[in-house]
Amino acid sequence: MRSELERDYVEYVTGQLPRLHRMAYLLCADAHRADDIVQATLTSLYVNWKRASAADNLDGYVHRIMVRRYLDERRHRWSRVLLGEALPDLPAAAPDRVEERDLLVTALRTLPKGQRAVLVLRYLADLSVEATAEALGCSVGNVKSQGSRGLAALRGVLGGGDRMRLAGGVGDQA
Amino acid sequence: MIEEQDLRDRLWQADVPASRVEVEALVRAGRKRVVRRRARQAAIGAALAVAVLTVPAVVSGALKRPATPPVASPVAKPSTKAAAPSCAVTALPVPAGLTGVQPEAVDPTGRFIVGNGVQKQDFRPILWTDGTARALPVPEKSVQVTAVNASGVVAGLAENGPDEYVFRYENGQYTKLRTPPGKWHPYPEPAINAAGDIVINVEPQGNVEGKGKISLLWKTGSTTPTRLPVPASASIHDITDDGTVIGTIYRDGVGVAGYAWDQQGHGRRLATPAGKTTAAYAAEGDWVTGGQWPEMVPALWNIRTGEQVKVGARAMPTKKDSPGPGEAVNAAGMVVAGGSVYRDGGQLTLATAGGRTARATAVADNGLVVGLALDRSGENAGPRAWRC
Repeated sequence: MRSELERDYVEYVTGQLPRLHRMAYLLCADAHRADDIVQATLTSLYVNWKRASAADNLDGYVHRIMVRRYLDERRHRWSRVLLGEALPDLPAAAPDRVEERDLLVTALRTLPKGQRAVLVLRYLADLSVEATAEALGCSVGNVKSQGSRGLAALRGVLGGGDRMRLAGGVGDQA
Repeated sequence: MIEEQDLRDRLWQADVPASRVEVEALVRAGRKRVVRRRARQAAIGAALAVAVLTVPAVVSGALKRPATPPVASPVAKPSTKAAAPSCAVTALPVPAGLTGVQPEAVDPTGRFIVGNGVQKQDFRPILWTDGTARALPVPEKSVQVTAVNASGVVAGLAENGPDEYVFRYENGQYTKLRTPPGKWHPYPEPAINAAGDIVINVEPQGNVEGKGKISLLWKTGSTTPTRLPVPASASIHDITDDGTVIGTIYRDGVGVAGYAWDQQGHGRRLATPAGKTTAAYAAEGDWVTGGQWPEMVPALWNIRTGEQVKVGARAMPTKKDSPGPGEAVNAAGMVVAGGSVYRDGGQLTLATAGGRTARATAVADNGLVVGLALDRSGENAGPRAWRC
């Protein structure tokens, strides 16, 4: 890649990394898998950067790759393949303890993957129903039904301020 | 009540663990991918231009440096086939209505192949017997087949929302394999040996990265598991016909060394050079395959000696030339890594038509390779089998 293009890529990725990481983590609820998904998405973006950066909706393009990676990732033997690049050790707290502290993440994990993907795409990535359907490769009706079922399920777990219900019933909170 | 805006806010406020992805590493990985893609395109171009190729000459990256000659194998090799430049391809039939079909495994005789189609986010299982495809029943939301033995006994994972379990499929019937009391998440995929013994790891549901995991064995015909006496830090990946369990010891989520354990838990560390780490993923006959880091190259061990034998790609010492770790192996020591197949120190060429590329997933003892053809844009062009 030419150096000015690479600079653009670095600039874009630096700005988007926290958001994309959050999205990947909320999709898969696993710190290591989230890193894998982000790394695969952004490596693929690098390879296609010249074309992708000229696209009308770069964020939409990146969301689509990421969702595809998330869905594909179930088919891959991801857990058999260690991350290719040596990643630095995590400082401080272990990630699994962090996620156990967050009720929303715990609640999301109880949802079927389709519902979770719809909620994350609709409400974190702010995709329209149509764009969510396109990213997930399903119908608009399916997105609507998955979304409303997902919301209802979250209400069931988190609703009414009854957080003890979650702590006692779903997560094994420390 | 959680309303839409409320959910938006909470998604943004949720406590998310630190990312370990660094921009510099992404740029390095991206550059590497571009170089690999160019090398592959150059290799394909060269393969088209040259009528006859020797096996080592088509190893990815061979244009840049000479490949090492094939190493001697302790297993008798089919000499007439070893020199063949290419493995002939056959398209595997796909049952009506299934899409995104990928072969996952083949039994050692090459008679049975298992694979999965995809429907939305769910798997749809397929069993090929002597080349005839059959869509297997789908008793749960998602049914994924991952291993098959020479008797046609299949192992896999079923999922129905939060309910996940390992099954055995035999004589047209699914049998749910029991786990100890509690909710368990099985990972990564069950493996099976000739006798029909099935192994996998399970972790308490809700845990991640193997926290609290145990490794289980279901003897043939049994639905009651035996807990394998392997270390808590071990993740097991395969079982050989004599009951040896193959896996990897992990430390902080990273593989440290490949191991072979007997069922009493006596472990043998597979040769791992000083300063390197290894992981073992699959075994067949006398051979175990996996990877060695930091080079990220395939590794091949002789299980009797624990010593490593070179895989073809070991001729390329840098990560960018490597296909990554070995994922499947046969009793003749043929290794599948990164979608390519290696035998006797050289990479085999898997024939494809119409500008497609091949991605192998598994290999039988008779040299039958199963996998996918990918079209020019990298999309799945259908399941394939190759005779090597």
